[in-house]
Amino acid sequence: MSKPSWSLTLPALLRDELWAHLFPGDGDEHGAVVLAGVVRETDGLRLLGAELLIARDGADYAPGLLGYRALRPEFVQRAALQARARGLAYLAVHCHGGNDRVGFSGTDLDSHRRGYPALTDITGQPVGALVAARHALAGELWLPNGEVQQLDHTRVPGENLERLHPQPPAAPARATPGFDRQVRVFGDRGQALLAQTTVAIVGLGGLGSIVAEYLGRLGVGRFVLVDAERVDATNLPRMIAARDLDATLAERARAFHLPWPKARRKTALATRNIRRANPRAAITSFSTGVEDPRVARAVARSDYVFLAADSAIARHVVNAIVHQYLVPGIEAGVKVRSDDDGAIDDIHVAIRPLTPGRPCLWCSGLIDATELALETTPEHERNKARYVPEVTAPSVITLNGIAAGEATTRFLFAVTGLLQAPQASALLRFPRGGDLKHQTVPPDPECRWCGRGPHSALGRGDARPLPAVRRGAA
Amino acid sequence: MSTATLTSAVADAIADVRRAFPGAQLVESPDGTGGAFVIVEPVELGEAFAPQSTWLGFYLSPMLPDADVYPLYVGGDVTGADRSPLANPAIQATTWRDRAALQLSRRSNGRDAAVSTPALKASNVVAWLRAL
Repeated sequence: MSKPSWSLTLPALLRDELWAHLFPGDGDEHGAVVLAGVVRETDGLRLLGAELLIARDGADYAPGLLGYRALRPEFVQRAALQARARGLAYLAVHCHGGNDRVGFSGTDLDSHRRGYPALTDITGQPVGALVAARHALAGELWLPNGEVQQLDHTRVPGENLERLHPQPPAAPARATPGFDRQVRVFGDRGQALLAQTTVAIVGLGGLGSIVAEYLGRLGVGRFVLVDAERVDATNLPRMIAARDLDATLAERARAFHLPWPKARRKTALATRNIRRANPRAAITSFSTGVEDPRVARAVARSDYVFLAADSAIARHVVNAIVHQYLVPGIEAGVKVRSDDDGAIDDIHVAIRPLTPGRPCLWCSGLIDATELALETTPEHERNKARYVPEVTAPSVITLNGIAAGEATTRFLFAVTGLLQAPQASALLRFPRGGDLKHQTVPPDPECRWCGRGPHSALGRGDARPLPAVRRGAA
Repeated sequence: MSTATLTSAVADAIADVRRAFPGAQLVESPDGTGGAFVIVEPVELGEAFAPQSTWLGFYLSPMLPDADVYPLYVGGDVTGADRSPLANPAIQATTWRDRAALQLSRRSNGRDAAVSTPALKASNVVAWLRAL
């Protein structure tokens, strides 16, 4: 049985700032503190980098009595009190030389033993240390119950989904021969990473259905599928491998006096398709909205999220998960605009990266607060409150295919480290004329989801509740 | 009324609304999802209206503070002082919570969740109605 360990997620912008401080090119040792949200998983703790406190050379990080350099007591006290006030774990960081392997020195470990039991008492939270090399990160965590655990790995969700380890991981097993053609693109390690990745798909309609099929074929190993709806006849032209029976199950059943009451769920259709592509995939399905607290928790424990639903609730909850739990993702959608006479004005496909700590869907003006109020109003009052009735949006499988192909390719390249150019901006593709536009949103430092202020949800994890609708609660 | 099922933001908003309408009774009805229906009564409209006071109703979403408060409602019997119906595209006759009501459809475009609280929204919509 393996020893208990923990993992860390550092948003790319926080990692970039930390690395710039630790590795300025002088070859010397530098220090900092990361305050981290805590997520309790069944297989251990996941810490989420929320705030970076840079220790100024000579002032906050100075020659130590017992070691080469040490954080000054005043700096440690300030950081520990801040950790306690915010309910965050305290992680002291320093750097060593080297490139792809790193570990604590005996002096480092002695200092942990001297200081960390008292610091866990002060903060009431896990306390630990990180030691960084250019391409490696090791860590040790002291829990309030006195247990000490070692850092297993660190995720850095940015353009690429980088992973850092204390030392280079063992070579992966050879991928099964069926994946031969794609392994020639991203190697056995890429295939192994896909198999280890948990992907949540929120919305399994025309677009999400294609995303599920593509990811199943790629060999993604674990899925969280979320959609409250059932298949109806108007979905059949757009849903992968949908059969007439999926929509008409209820009518057929009634004709034969069978007890099945309803059409097939969209999650069931996606499950069927994924299993056909990858029988070993582990699939968890939820036939409710992502605003159900159980569902939101499952999505928050995923490695990547596809947002393929266009409700304000889904956007709001997924946006919260991306930033509060540092789960990267992508929103894919198709917009067809027509004038009052029904003539088509504009068709475009939108692909928006959802990157923790980068400008969020609120900053982009893509969540409508009024629509959010209406969607959460109990149904009997909501229908009356909408004095302009909702109109069914146009939808075509080929347009959904463009969006699904672009979004899943970005995911694939991010997981396997193949993205080259920064992909922080949204991509708008106008298939009628072939135009491409990139859309960049300026950051809002005060945003309460993606900002860096004290009230931001960024990296707070379980320290605060996710937005949720407890339908059916007493 | 029990507040056991309210989110903390909804409970805070209700306390804030009580402070914003100090002379009024506030009745809250949790909806079981974390949100609540709220009725504030009486709310003074002034001599330009008949009756001169009414009730104000709205729903507080469990997605507060991010969700807007929309729409708001006043008594369905509210008219101008001369008994003429209130003529404004943002006002529709309807029923709300089994009461005859006027729906006041006032969106808050570009709202700042930290500033545009439910109490402020309710006060602003009443002020808008009074100014018609």
